Amino acid sequence: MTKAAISCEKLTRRYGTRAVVNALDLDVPENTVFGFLGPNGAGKSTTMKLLTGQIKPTSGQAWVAGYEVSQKSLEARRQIGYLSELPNFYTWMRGQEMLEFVGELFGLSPADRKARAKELLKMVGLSQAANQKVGSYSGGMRQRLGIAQALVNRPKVVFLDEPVSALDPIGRRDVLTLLDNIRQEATVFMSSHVLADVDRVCEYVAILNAGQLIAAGRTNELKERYARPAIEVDLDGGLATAQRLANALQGENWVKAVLPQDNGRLKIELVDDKMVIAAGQRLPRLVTELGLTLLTFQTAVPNLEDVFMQLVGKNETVAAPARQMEVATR
Amino acid sequence: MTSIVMMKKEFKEQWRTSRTLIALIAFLLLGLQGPVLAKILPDLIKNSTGNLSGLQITLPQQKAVDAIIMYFSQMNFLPVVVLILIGMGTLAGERERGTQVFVLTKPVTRTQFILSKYFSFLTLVTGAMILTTLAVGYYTILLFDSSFNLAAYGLLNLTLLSFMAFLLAVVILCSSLFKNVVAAGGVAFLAYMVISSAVKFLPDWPKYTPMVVFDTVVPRSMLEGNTSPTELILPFLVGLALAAITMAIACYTYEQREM
Repeated sequence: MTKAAISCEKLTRRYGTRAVVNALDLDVPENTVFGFLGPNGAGKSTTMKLLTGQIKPTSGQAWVAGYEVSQKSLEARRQIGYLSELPNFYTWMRGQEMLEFVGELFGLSPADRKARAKELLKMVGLSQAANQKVGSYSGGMRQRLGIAQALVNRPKVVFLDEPVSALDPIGRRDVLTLLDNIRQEATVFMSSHVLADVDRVCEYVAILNAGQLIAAGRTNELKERYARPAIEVDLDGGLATAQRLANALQGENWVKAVLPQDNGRLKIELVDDKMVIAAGQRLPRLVTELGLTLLTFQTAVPNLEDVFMQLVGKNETVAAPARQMEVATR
Repeated sequence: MTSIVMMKKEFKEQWRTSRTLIALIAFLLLGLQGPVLAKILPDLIKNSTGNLSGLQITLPQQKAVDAIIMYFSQMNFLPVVVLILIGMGTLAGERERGTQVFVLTKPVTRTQFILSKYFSFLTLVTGAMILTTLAVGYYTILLFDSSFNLAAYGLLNLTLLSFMAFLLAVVILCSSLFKNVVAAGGVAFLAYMVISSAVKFLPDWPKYTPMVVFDTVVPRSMLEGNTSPTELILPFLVGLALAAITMAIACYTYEQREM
């Protein structure tokens, strides 16, 4: 038995000669919400499949809730809940019936599974649709039902593969709040492309790229370690004005990169954090020389997207990628 | 316990997706064709050749035994197709739709998953066979008489059931091997054609294969009381053994496959 909720030792999965997951060493502390990040094809879903016993590793080992997943697959599955990226359920079942079926598989008594199904349907906002056939549910409703079915057995570890991908903003907010609440009784291991969501709820994150773990740790520590120092400026005049300033910044030795934002703002990455003072002195002057009006000037708060872009690279596909303009390479 | 839960779910699914009704009606109607056709065939032939001068087809007087032989020959094709159609998607369809992941990430072994499907379908086929056996027996006595060995009739049906059990195992095996429902069904049908053709090349095949029920000589001899129906015990057991072996292969291959 290990103390971590999830533990991987040199976990490897190969398809032919290609290592989709390559010697993954990872520990996920108990009762945390753990974000598992990476670009498309990084090996996130394969890792989830390995940890939930859907596929077997080529080499290495993994433990979930204290059970080695290859040798004690059934025992491990008693302790987990799982929601796949594209959840599909029996369309002929009704919502309540499906959750009761899951409860029955976990050995819950008829009274317990009925009560648990009702409780979960209420929790995910599907009480009104409890007696509707799952086939008539929308994508968002299925995703909510998927989260509910993953919690029926009060699991020690919940695996959620893109849990909010099909939800509208309100549904997303509700589910993230729910995940935040269930950490008291379970460890949540989730993958998501929506980095802002991961940033909001995950205390720990791991970033995978091309099957290899490239960073793991507390979200705040990673942000401190990897996010580049930057400032954000807002100018009067919108995108065209911002572009003029971006062009003018190309000659400045304290600027690493200029990232025009969708709202016309400019995010200016600095060569190092000591350059914040230089930027504070030089930028207002430059704006005045160009005849522009500076509305706001602030130090940018580092976020997970910065960390992700820094570690994974600038050409990977992530949700709402920032348009980036390299102005200098030093 | 888990196996019972899975079986219950399978029965519910069969009922809600109308497979139960389709199987019962199809077996019943196709089986009843035997005695009904045997009864009306002489009249049909007489009427269709009545205007052709010089052509005369004379059918011997149809008896209860002929009706039952015709029933068994009817059971050799269309009910088999029905069996393949209702069973071919059982695993391939779950894989295609992604529902197997939902179940197999719960504490359910793959063997429990596949066996619950097999035994629920086998129960359905057994129910359909019992109903058909009773209905065909009743109609044969009603339309003809009871001049056939009832024990032989019962044992022949039991042997037919053991053949269906084997065929169902073949369908499940094919369904476990393919991701696509149509491919699973196509290969299962091909396997059935190959088995039914190849078996006839085996020496003395009616003595030990459950396909003896589709033979015209041995069943007639048993129904007329000239041969002891206990000779069906070996073909019956062979059918069950083939079903068990095929299911063991299906379980093994399903365990090895990626989800």
